[in-house]
Amino acid sequence: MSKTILIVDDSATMIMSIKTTLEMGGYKVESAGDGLQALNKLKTGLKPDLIITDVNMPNMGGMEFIQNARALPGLRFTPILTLTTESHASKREEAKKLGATGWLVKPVSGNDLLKVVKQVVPGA
Amino acid sequence: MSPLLAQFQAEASEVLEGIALKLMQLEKQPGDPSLMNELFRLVHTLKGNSGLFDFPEMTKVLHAAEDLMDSVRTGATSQSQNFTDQILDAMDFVGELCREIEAHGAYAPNHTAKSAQLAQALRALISTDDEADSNATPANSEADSLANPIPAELAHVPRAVLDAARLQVAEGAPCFWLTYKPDEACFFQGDDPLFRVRQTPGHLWGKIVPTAPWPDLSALDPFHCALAFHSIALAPLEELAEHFQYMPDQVEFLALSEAWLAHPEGQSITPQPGLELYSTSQVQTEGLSLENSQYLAQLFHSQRQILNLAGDADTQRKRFQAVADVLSKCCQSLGDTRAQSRVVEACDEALSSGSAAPLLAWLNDANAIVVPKAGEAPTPGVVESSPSETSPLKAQDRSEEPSIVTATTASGPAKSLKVDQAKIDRLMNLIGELVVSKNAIPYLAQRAENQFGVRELSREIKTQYSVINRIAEEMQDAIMQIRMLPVSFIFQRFPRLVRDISRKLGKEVSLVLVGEDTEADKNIIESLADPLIHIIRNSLDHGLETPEVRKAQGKAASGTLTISATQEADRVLIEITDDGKGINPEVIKRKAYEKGLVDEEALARLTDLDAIQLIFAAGFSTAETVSDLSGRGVGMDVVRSAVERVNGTIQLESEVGKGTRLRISLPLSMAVTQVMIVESDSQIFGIPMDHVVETVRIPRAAIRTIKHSPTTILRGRVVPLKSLNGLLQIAAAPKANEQDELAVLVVRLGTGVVGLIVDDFCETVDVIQKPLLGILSGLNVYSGSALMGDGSVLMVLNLKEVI
Amino acid sequence: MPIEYRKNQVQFRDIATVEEAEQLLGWLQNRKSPRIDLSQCTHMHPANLQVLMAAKAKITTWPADEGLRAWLQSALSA
Repeated sequence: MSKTILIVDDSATMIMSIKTTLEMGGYKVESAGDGLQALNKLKTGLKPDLIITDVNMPNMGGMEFIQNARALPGLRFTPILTLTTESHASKREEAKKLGATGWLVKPVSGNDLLKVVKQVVPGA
Repeated sequence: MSPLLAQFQAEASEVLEGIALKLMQLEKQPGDPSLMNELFRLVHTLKGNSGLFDFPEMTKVLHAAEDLMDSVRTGATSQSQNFTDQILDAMDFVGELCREIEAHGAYAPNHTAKSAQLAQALRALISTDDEADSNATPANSEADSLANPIPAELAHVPRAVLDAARLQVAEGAPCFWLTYKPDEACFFQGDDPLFRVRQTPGHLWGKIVPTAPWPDLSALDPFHCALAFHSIALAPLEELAEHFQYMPDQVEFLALSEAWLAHPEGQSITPQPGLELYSTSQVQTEGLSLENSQYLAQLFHSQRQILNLAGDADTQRKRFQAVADVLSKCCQSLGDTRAQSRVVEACDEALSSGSAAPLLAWLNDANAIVVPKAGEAPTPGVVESSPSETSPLKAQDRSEEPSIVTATTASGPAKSLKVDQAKIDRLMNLIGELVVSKNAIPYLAQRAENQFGVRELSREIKTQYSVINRIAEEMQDAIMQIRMLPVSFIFQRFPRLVRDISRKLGKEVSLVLVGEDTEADKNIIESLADPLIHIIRNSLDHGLETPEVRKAQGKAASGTLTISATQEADRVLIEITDDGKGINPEVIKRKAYEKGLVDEEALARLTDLDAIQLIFAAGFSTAETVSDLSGRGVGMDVVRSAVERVNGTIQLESEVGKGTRLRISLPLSMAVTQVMIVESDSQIFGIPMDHVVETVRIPRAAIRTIKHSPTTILRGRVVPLKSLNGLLQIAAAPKANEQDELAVLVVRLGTGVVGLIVDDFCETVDVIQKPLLGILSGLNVYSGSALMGDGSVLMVLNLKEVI
Repeated sequence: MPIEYRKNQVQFRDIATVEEAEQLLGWLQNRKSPRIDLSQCTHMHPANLQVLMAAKAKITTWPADEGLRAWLQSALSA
């Protein structure tokens, strides 16, 4: 059974790039344009095996999203990775405190992405 | 172009527009945190996206811009005018690269120098706040926890495993003892520690132990992690550290030497030669990540800056102390005690001599240690200020093909969908065909009744037709709505344009935009961009005066340029008003006469209002010298023809000393044209209703010949008459009706009217005009063709060309 | 179901996720000497492992996956 990954990013380019890689890796990919959209998807039954979220987004940013997502019943233990740039290391720690599992550094190469996904999603 | 690159392009041009807009708003509301965050987010997004491709020059500039934005956002750097200029320059550069990429799929390789220069200029603006830097140093005060890192577990490792490890180490393989104590709450961060240790690179052996005796099952919290993991791994430290990068504080590494692997049993393990302690958060320089060593280099750099500051002796001593303190902590966290003691010595020397030299010398030595290992050393700070090139005005060159058509609603986060423009055009074409084929049904009904005599069927067909008709019309309307864009789509470029031009001209201008959410068809909106930009340039260049002149005339130093959009019935009205010096009709008349555009006789009859319309005449340019701004070889005649091309009209009003107002009236949509069908020499032609004033039948006797041209008098006004046959070089005389009256279609052309003699008038119809393609496209007398319901083709006349 | 419960036997299949630990804990609390079959197990979240460790559960069949087996044996066979 292929694993489902939810990508949350306000940049369609970023989503397209990550989605293409993941789909080639055999994953099912869902996407949302901001934290609010993502949260709505999660509230209406989406149960991803992994969430990859950007930090800076309109409407609801990554930090607030992680906090809200963790409070949902089925998402207490779901791995969440943040998408950060190397210049914002402090955000990673902040995100971890709010419940993030780890981070990806933009730009993410296809190999790195798949490697990290395999590290956090058992059976992926 | 790959879909990803195309997506990047589309998003980049959108983001660049957004950045320009936010910067303009930010200039009006300096320091506004939400604008600042939004701006940062946009730059950040663009930078992230550019990194997906091999565009190092672009990424470099965006990275610097992002850092600057971040510094300004957090208040570390102040937002100066220079800030706006630099970011704008940088974005212009990025836009330029994007256009090259759009045209060739990549950009030329000659941008490296410009990129470096821009990045440097941006970074030069970032305040290097020493305080902030030193505070940001990772504090490694918990170094003590590493004092007794190894439990007796190692003694329980099977001999065979140790032997295998020893053999590997003897051959030079790295070997580490790893202790991973996951955070108690780590399950709630999505961690699966067992899964992670199972994938440890070079994993040789592992053991799981509880961190405390297990409580009774009824008291056990399964989600509270109470496990520790031990492992022996044959992999380099960097690889191991990377594997556990998300939890550096939960993992410790111990290098295992060959000798030690040979006799581990019964030994109490204490750090000794051959046994070096590491943790990912506390590594010696050899294991320093690039990131950390860059950090260190930066830190050293700022210490040097502090030492170089001027001040009285007392202040200096305090600085020495502070710098030594920071450096000493660095050494401590690197575990380099010798370097640390040298810092203390240097500090003592500095304090007794009152000179910073010993500490600076230490820093130079230290740099030599740290920096070369780091590969590249980012030394921020001193940057020669190179005169930044004045950014050429590019706004008018931008040919962004918007691939976005959004239905914007004012309230709430409107859900919008990005659709390729071609898909909407296709939809438009299809609905056009549907409308046309639907029009064939009434003919069918007529035939059923007249030809086959089945009246009942004819009625049923008509009923069905009215249903299809209604749906088709609604559908057409709905598709039109998709194509509607707010004028803000082009208005949003104006603040930047006005700012750039007015600064260049040394004028003060405040731009007022009204009615930005007024919508019109995408094609109309797009066709408006160039004329409007030209008009704005003209206004700024020739209309508005310099502050000195304005003050001398008792006006406010700052001029006002108002651009408003309103919807009036099925037209959009755009008004561009300035309170500048206005247009002097006498000057215009003289110019027009000098250029031979009007003769003396006509000159005398010209009203002032008519006179100033002469600026729209081809070959007219009022500026004494061609400035580099508006004098681009095009005049207002180009503006007029651009407006007329989309069936718009343009009018000028001006009052000397008070200002000028241009009114552009445009159709809301150009997709459907209402045309009147006329017949001449048994052929039918379409004439756009926008031109039609009235239809009259004139007795042949009422036609007079004045100056060899037939004319007639309609309501006291002389109307020149032209025969359509004659204009189209059809060798047939116009046909009159039984009462010997000629059918005359009175049409408006520019400001005058002309009577067009045709054979007969038919009905008016809505048609979807298609441009003439291929060999026919050279026929200027037709603006296009349309399919009629019965399948025949209607040629729509382009009256301006015909007459 | 990744964990199948029978009368006095529990069988792990594929991956036992963190969410399953609570039910496993509840089940083990009422069993004297349950039989644990891990032969089909490819991975188990440590939340489940903790429960097995705390319950001093007896493993009747170890996982076929060698890597997992070694780790689990280090924790459960002592």
